[in-house]
Amino acid sequence: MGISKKLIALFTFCYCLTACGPQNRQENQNWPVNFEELITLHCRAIELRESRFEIADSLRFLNDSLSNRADTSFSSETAGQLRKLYKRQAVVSAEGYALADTIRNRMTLVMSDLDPVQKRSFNDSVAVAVSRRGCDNGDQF
Amino acid sequence: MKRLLAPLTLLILLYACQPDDDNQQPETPATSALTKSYSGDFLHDYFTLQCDIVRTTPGYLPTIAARAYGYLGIAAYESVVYGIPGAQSLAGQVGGIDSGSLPKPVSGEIYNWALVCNSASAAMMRHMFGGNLTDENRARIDMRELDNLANLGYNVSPEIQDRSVAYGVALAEALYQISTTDGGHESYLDPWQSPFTWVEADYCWIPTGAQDLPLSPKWQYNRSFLSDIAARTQPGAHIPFSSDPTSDFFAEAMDVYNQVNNNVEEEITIAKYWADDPFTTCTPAGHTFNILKQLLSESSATLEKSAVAMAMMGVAENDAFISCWKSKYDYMLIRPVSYIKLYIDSEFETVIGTPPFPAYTSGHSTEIGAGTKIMAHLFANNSSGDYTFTDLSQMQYGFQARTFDNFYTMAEECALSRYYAGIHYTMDNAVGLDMGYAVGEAVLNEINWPQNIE
Repeated sequence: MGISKKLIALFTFCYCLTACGPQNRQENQNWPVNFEELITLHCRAIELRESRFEIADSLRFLNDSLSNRADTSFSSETAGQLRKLYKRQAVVSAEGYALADTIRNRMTLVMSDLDPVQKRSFNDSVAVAVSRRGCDNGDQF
Repeated sequence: MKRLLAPLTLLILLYACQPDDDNQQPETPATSALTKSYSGDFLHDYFTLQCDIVRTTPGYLPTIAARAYGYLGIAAYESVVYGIPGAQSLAGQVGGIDSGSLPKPVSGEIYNWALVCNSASAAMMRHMFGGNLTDENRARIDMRELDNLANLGYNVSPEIQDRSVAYGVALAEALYQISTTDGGHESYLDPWQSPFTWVEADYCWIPTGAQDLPLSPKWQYNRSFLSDIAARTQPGAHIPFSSDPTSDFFAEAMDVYNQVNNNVEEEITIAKYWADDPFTTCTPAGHTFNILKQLLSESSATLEKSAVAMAMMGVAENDAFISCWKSKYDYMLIRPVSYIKLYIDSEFETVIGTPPFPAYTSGHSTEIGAGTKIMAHLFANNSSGDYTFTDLSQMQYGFQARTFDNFYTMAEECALSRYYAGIHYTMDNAVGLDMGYAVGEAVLNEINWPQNIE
């Protein structure tokens, strides 16, 4: 009877450990990849994506305002703005290309052994982890 | 104990009698191994590299990229076709590639089809990016080819290696020479095909941004792989243009206006996910190839299935763009953003920038329609296109992967993305998808592809 009590206590202790573990346990478990590192890379990719669209929008609006002006002379201020935007675009693109290669290689490794259901589950885990980090700005990245 | 010793001794003897790896003689097979005996992985890697190079090469806009993918797919197929029992070369089956215009393997000689494909793919890529291929990208192709040669050529006799490489190079050279007469040769040097003859009319496309000239206005005159495909898949006229607020055309534009102003977050995500802007991604055709490549890799496709799939997709994407660009420049329809700014709201802004070419029909919709037919044929469990997969290709650009249970659902989402973005009227997308489906069907039905590929 004494042994049974010890067993029950041990079982309860183990159960508590499992139940009270960190919230992101389910996100991390069993994926054949350094999950936290992948999320860090992914968060950076989201930032770069947002920058790309932001720069593209700025260029679009600047060009729109130029085409709407009656005076079509090209001010040095506008030229400077454009130059700055194109420079920033080149920097963001360069980092984006390198990061894209890294993420693609990681994803190829992690996905090669997963079936469609596991892939869906993995993607859900990525979404939860990205949201937990707050790098998706609350939108569905 | 004695019972155990006997089999153990036998095993040791067998092991000891195996030839030493270092002293192994190169393979000298009596006949060429079949294409299906090789993995398709190295070919998938070439298409990954193609994507990287497309997005970093000046002049590689969507039409031009689709053509480059097309010739790479055909080069891959032609390099392995004689290793597929019962398969027929595309020579004599598709435009420009006449019977007898491609070199053939020497009868009775042994080839390693993977090595042929390796050298043909690398040579074709160098040709297609031509003068705009940067030193860095050229080095990446060279490295890929050498790396593959070392891996695929391991244990293959030098004679077979040399013969296979020479055949692959000759094949790529012949295909490249054919490509120089299709109308798209070196189009990366002048994607705008200037000078452009403007038409002054209310319905006509006007520039929507800094780019004054439209992209590839003469693309419809390119020789397609399927004879006369552009004329055969034309959709007919769009809803008649009108600026009358009671007209159907005005209603189409108003529909776009209302959609853009009321997009929910998921719709904006979809609009950006499928945008596939040049020089950021590898264009819409590249995205479709990325999906195909992923599905082939996931199913551990052999070189046989991979090469057939890439050729099917290559023909489909190239011809879809030619067909779509015919309707674009036959109708020269004004973009929603221009129409809305003129007749509805001068302050209107789309979700993303509008590309520099006319509206009708949608390029995204046409290319994904054609690609969807190919992928449904290759992978779907039934004619309804059911297949569960997760498109991982956009994660590298900071998007969450999207999961689909049906190829046609994916195609419709891609088409809808252009409506959510404010880039296209709904008619551009619906008609574009149908055009794409027609091109895809024609690719599958009008070419004698090998059956029961593995």
